[in-house]
Amino acid sequence: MRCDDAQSELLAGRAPDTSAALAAHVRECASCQALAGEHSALNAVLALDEPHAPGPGFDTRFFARLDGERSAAKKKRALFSVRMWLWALVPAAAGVALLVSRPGSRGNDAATPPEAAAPAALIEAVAEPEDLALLEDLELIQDLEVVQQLEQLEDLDLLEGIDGAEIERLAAEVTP
Amino acid sequence: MNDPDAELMLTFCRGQEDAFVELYRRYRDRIVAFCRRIVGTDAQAEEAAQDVFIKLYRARDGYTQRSRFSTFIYRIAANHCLNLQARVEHKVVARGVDVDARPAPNASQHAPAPLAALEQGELREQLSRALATLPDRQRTALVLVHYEGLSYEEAAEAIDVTESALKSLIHRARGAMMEELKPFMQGDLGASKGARNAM
Repeated sequence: MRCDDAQSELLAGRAPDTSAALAAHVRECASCQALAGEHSALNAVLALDEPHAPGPGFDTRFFARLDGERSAAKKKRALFSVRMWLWALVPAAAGVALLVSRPGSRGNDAATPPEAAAPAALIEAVAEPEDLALLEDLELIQDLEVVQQLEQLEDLDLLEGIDGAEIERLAAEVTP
Repeated sequence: MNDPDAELMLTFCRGQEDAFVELYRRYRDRIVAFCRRIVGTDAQAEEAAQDVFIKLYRARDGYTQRSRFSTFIYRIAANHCLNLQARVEHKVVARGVDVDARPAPNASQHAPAPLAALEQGELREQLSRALATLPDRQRTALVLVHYEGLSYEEAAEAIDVTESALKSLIHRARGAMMEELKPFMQGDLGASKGARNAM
């Protein structure tokens, strides 16, 4: 091993006894030996820094947070499945709308204009109890989005970042 | 790769929450100690350590075993602590306070040592201050390798730098520490040289 390599290893904190080549070089090279001595002294000093142990109540606080996390994860999964359901309904609703809007497809109601028949058919299509539950879920999603936006408004960091002139400009825009 | 901790994480990913609790039990003290050496106060460090475990909990959907589990969790911890530190510095600068004039983040919060304190106590105090004055990335690199026992390769992966960049960070950190602790080091060196000569 050359001095450059040995010094690079020693400066990066490697102890000579961790590598046979480094140990052999340090034994024979006076300058690397001095450097190794300095660094082993530094290692000895660094070893005096004792690790901080978690304070009392750390576990209790953590598991309370974890419980919150678990229920949030459950809610998120439930909302995700509702969203998937809604996306799956879109083509179905479009198909139903297409079917009922074709002239003559509703027998006696053939006189009904197609543009009036389509919304009526859609209401019929979602009038089942499970669909009503789905609509409630949709409202819940919208409510949660509103709450999320309100939380963003309360985010002080976010508010700090908004320029005063920008606020005045926005206020002028919304004031009639 | 035979890594029992990674196996536990994979078990947790398959839905067994007990595996997560076991990982928490194994890494709690190490992560708290790591966070304490990087961020401001004991309270902030404990909060940061809890955040790390919450992030680990959330990672179960996307976890794949690419490296040792310890590298994975220290990567989460290092990123989190470095982000926290960057946020603190950003706020301090934004409020027009000199970053270097604020209290050292890792300095002891205890009252000054009593007169009867041992020399070693003073040395510890000085060490704590010296660690705190290091730039965040240098301190993180030094802590990962020296205190947490990660290899250069693992530590480099944890803070997302190349191995040579990591060595350079540690080199600079150790140089600065050597400078800060010179008075204590000379005593220590003298003692060790004396001991060698006596042999």
